[in-house]
Amino acid sequence: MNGSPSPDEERLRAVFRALGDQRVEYAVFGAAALGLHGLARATADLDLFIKANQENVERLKRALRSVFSDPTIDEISAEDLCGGYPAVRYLPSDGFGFDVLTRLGTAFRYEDLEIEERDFEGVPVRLVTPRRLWMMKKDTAHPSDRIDAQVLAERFGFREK
Amino acid sequence: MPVTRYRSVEEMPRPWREASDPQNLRLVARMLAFYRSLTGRTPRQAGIQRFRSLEEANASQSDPYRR
Repeated sequence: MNGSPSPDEERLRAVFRALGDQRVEYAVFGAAALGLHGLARATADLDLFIKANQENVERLKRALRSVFSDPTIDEISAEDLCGGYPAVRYLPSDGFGFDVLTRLGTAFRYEDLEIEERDFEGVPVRLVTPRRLWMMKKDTAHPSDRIDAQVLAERFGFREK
Repeated sequence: MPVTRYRSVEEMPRPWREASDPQNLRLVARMLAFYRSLTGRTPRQAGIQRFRSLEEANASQSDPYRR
């Protein structure tokens, strides 16, 4: 895969650089994380799990504002993300969107994740480990999550105890 | 490219890439663009939406990968 970066690749790189520059405590999960681990499938958005506190939400907003000139980013609220609305979707006017999460059901908070930092041609990215992704997906009701869990188990050799 | 025959799909090599390949980010970018090419006619609601759970967020997105 050579050639100049696509607009989506440039935006991905810009977002990850901004998250690092603003010291956001985050980890990529979902289908994008699978792809970063080498298991690619089509996906609508970049899923970001973030630590639930006001300062971290403000860091996230600063990071997004540095990439997107979009006043709607100000509508992202720590009160929501740390309270009754732990999932926030941001869809820019063009390109891919973002799902930002502070907890997944009652089982997973940011503190429960296993996170590794990887370098993608000079861009550091924090992502959930394959094993934790498998644990997050294997017992969910959504068919695509169950398929993802099966692929992770086959690729990395995970087994139910 | 030569033709390779298999007796079943299970025999075929898996389309996996090395987990450590630094070009995986480029592949994710392609998968994001590919998705939009599949769902380009779906109405797009730009801005911020909030949900009580990820399941609720997924259910709100009307496309074949979420339903």
